[in-house]
Amino acid sequence: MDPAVRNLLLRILRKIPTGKLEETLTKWTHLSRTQQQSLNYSQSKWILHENIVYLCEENGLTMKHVSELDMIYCMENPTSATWRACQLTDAEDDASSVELISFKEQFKAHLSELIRNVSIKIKKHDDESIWIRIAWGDHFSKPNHLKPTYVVHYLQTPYVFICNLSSKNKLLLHQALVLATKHGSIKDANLSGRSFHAVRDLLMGHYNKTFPTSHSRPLKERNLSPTHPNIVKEHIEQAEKRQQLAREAFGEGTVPKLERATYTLETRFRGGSGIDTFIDSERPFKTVVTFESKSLLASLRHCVSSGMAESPVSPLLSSITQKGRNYFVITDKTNKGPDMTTQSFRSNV
Amino acid sequence: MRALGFQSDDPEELKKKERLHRLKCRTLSLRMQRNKLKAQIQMIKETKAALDEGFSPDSNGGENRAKCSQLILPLLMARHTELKDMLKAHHLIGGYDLVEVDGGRRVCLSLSTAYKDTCLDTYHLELDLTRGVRIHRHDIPPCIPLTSLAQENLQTDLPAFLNTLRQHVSALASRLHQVKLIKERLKTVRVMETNSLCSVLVLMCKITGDEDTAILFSLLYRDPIRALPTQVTLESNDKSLPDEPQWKETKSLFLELPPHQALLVLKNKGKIM
Repeated sequence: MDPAVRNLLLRILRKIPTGKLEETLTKWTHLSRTQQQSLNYSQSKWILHENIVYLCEENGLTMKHVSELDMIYCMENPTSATWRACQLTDAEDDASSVELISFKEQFKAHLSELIRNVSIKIKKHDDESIWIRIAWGDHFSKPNHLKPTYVVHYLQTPYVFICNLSSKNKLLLHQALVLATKHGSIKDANLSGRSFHAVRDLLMGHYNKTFPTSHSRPLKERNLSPTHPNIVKEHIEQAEKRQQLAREAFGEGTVPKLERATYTLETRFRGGSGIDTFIDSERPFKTVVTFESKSLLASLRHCVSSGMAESPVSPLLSSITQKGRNYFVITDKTNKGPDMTTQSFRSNV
Repeated sequence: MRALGFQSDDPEELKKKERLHRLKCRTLSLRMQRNKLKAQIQMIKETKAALDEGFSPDSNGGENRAKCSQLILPLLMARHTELKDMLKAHHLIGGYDLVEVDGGRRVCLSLSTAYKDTCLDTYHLELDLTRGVRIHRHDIPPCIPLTSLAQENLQTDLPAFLNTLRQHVSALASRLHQVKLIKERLKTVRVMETNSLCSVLVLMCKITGDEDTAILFSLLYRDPIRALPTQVTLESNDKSLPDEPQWKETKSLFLELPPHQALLVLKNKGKIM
């Protein structure tokens, strides 16, 4: 077996935890049943991996098959790197009738035209998403399978999720995507995170959003913790109102597990509370504020419902769910208007 | 004791007198209750008569003012109940359910979808009414082109915008439901391909009597507001099969009936397994 292939295979096997190894190999289907049964998963990792490599050599597997194994593992467990979201804009008229086969062909054709020596693999996941694995090479070298880029796209939606893309190849990938999906351009959606599911769920709206209704919903779940009948909560109305506002701004139940939100402020320092040293009306006072948490949206929701953050929820925080982004740039409104103290968002292009 | 005027201190007699007194009090209170109820009935009769005659709390007929003033409150209450019942009925038949939020600056609507007699998901839309109509937040799936629909007529013609949006959303919900029904009821048919907008549906069926021949129906839904396909193509690994007239007829069947019903018809006729 080619040493590069062997090297890649060993790397992939080391990445997969032993618990998941068996089912991943079954999904891969390149080892026969008897071969799989002959593997002893309780042996030490090193010996187990050597056995698998030996079986693969027996079957004469190549780089193509090994990269498929990498893809199958990544599709089930996509948390190895930072995922960024991009948005396709200016859809052409027939963009809504792009279907799987034509997308596959177009994408492969366009990308191969733009750069030689690139290895592309496209697979369809059970939930109708298209996964693309790209190993980049250039005119002089073969594709590098050790650092592949993964792209996920749901057809007929304008969102694309990318991980592990170097800036060198960014333009090429964007061009190929734009042509294959029949849109005009693609832009960064200012949303990134380590958990693919969180990024996808936030942007595609796959979580419970609450909306105010005048009629009671058919099933009202109320987790009223048992309280003593002699205890009267004075501020129960305000507490319920805060809870409702928190739920409307950040969702109900399990929310996507975003890890951070970054606000870059390019505003002028205005002083107040006696700090006069930084006032400089000419230059902006650059600050970066980052909120980090295991599950940012759940923490913010708790802050609002318990009264730690003021309600109604500040649009700075509610924009995370409303606009589906976690990177914001805040600038002063520096225009003709008489009101110079308001602040505005500016999208980071 | 006799000097104070008490009668004989026979305990039995005392008890009887107490009981009599209590009963007299009870009759008095019952009579009061009866009078109250009679007055209420009378008022309701008068209100009903007034409503039947066409009085409304807004009208100010001159000569009837005396009569009206007594009845204004009950008339208002009757109208209030009537309006509330109408709103509830509207909500049940799937109306838009407008709710004002934030002191009238924002408005929240709900679009309910259904297929035949099954209620499906409800989608919501929150509109910001300060400085023109803008969409504040929504939970409509991203495969529906909300921004392009909004650009067309959100500012100018809100009912038309809501109508088109509702058509899109209902059609999507119906198509998704049809795929779900196929997967539940027809386990022998394989759904090979579909997408989030359900604009493409590819089904693989096996032919009765011949284990190796499979037939592939590709249904294309080019019109996003219709729940029936616009184009049907047949493919099979037996090349001559799609040209047979009986199979050509099935194409028109798929254009007229929703896929799960069309497949059931074919199954009953014995053409597919």
